[in-house]
Amino acid sequence: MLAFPLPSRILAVLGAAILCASPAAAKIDLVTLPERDRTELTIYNSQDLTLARESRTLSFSKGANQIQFSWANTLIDPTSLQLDLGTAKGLTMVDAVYPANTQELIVWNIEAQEDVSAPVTITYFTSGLTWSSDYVLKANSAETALQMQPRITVRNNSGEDFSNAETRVVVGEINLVEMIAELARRGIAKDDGRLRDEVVKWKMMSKSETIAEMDMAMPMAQAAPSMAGRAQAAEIIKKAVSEYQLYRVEGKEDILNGWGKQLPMPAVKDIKFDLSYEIDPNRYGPEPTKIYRLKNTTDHNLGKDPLPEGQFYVYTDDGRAGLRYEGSTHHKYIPLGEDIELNLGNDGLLQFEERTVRSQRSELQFDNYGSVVGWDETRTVELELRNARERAVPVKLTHVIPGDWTMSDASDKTYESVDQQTVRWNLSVPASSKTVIRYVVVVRNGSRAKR
Amino acid sequence: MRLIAASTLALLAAASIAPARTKLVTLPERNDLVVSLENPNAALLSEERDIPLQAGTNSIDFSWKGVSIDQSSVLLELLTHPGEEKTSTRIIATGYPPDEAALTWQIYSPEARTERIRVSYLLSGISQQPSYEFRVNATETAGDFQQYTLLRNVSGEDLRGATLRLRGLPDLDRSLESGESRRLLALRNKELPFEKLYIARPSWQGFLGESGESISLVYEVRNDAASGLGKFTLPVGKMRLYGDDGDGSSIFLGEDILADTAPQEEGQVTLGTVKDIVMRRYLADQKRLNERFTTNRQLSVFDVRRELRYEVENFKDKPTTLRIHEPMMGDWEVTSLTGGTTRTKIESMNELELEIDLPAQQKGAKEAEKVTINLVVTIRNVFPGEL
Repeated sequence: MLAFPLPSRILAVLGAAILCASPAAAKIDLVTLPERDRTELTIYNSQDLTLARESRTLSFSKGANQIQFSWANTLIDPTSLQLDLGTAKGLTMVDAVYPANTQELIVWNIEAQEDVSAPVTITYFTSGLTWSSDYVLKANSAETALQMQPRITVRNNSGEDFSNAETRVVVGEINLVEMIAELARRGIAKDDGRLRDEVVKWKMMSKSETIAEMDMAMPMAQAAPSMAGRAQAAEIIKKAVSEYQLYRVEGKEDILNGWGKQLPMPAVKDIKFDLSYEIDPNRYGPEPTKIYRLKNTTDHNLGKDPLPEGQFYVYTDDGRAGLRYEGSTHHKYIPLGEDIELNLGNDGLLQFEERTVRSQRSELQFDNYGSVVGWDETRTVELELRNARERAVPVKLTHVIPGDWTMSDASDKTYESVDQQTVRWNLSVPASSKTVIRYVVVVRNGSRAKR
Repeated sequence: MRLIAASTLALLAAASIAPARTKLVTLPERNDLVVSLENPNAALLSEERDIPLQAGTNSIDFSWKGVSIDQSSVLLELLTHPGEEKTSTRIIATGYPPDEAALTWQIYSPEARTERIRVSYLLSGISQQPSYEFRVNATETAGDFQQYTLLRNVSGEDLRGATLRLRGLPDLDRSLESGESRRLLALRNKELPFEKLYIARPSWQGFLGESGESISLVYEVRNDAASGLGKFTLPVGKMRLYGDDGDGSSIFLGEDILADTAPQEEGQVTLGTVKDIVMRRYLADQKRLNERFTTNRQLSVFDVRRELRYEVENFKDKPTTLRIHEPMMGDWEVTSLTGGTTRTKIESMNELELEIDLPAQQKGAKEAEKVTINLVVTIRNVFPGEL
């Protein structure tokens, strides 16, 4: 077990406040400094937001008790601090005080009916923790199947070391009214003087409630073996909560301030995919783009969980017991059943050429003064695809025809209409050969145009 | 200081150490370093090392100095005991320490043993630049075609005893020190056939008349099996061409950039201009027909009849062919084409391709035989200002 004996910057201090009649009473005696029993981090990636939950067992004396919690040099939002006394009987939260002349300190006043030891939970929002996912893909040399190794990387720049923390990461766009880092910087006493209007206040409250509710809906994680005892790639337990996806990394991690930690997930083998090329000037520019196409379904050995947004690093077997780097590409969040398209750029092995072979004008319309105000253009266009690979390749050819037009003839009529200016062919270009689509389109111009 | 180091660290030893990280307990030698340059835009380095592991969790430190490695690209593979069985070696986590060009792997081994690992990463500063030499025979039908790759290493890392892996080449065991460049012969075909072409690309407006149009000398190679190539794209690069001067020596014919040429495609390089073929091109006649006017006598729409005359002379003692890429505009068609032996090809509405056969200059003849071609095209429904 690797120990990182850095002192925690977050201190929870329990004091029996025997002389608590006056708030000006001298600082309480330090009775115990309980260790965290459990730390849980829920890291959001759409905002700089982490919900931290620490559980500790505290001993309370009959009468008034104070719990002091300080967080110097961290990025904690003081407005978010909550102490949950759980189900312990005879404990009453009296209030919480942010003492004058000191920043980054809160004191909870708790009334106990008798001496009792109880587990409590402290939750707060902190900034500076982020997570991201990426994927290492290794395709066979024939480019028919691949192995995928997902990885989740957590980076900690929060100012606080988290040892033995259970980690959960959330996929989804969450709304925040104010940035946590800004709230942490401002502190509780340093309001900027501007009165926030009621709407903003209400929004903020309702939003923090939403987050809290969502979080509470999750069952408490079972105690898991610590990392050093784990001999597997971390299992990721995934769950949908409302519109968010929550991924819990099995086991506990030490995530020290300043460090990043990447956790490999179990690799998925033998994922079948289609090598295809796509031509879509609006999406990829003028050149054909090589695409690995698969689906997040069980047919492709996937389909168990949505895949978080991330970078895909793609390699192929180079046939010499090594790897060939094909490229890397970013992919947005992939829901179950969704198509996965990995854009690997133009490899030069599919050539595309578009040429207008003929353009004729007809149906000229004149106004009362004899000026041309409308006409038709009959245009003959050739789309040529040349495949240099020694295998047939599927090609998705998306083609834009501007204006008000009607296709009057096409050598390949299997096109589909995407929108009023876009058609698409799904073709297969045979190995080492070319395919030419020739179409004739009538484009109505000026007063002839109806759209 | 340049260093790429991998170190193992018995985990227990680190338990009592203060925040500064302990590194470099052992530094196993690289067993094998492969520099994969198959992707022309990236250098992927893969190095293999034998790492002694203790039973339990081990920490391996990988750090670098003075080189630029894409940290997120660093990939660790276990080669001896891969998989997810109980007996497998497994990667548990990768740590990225703050402000360091380094990472640490935590690796679990069920027993004390040696594991061969492969570490791969993208290293900046290694580039490849293709170039070509083409030495053609006296008859200009085939030549010795050589493709070179100039490897440049400004990465800061010395690649000693490396295996260089380029697409289409067997592995090469070569060193590439930092600061060093190395030129490698990547492809050679001693008898690459090619086609010699004479090509004119006149402009729509510019008629040089008596001065004659510029005619380019072009060599066209096909990247296909018939040419002994066709397996890989010929990457864009400068080609220098040399000819046989007939005296057992060679002469520099010119140079040009060969564009990316995929398998089955042809690539053209222009060597220079041709003096032994003369083409004079005249706008013999161009006039408007079928004019339609607005009520205030402004031109509204019309047709155009355009007549071009080409006078071509071949001063060579061999028959040859001249290719003309004649620019075109609008809704045009050829009305007539007379004189000489010509072929036409229309690949796009912007151009009419004409091929004109030219007879050889007869021995003893006072002058070359002049071939005169008349081309008439009609352009329909032109709006004012369009031509």
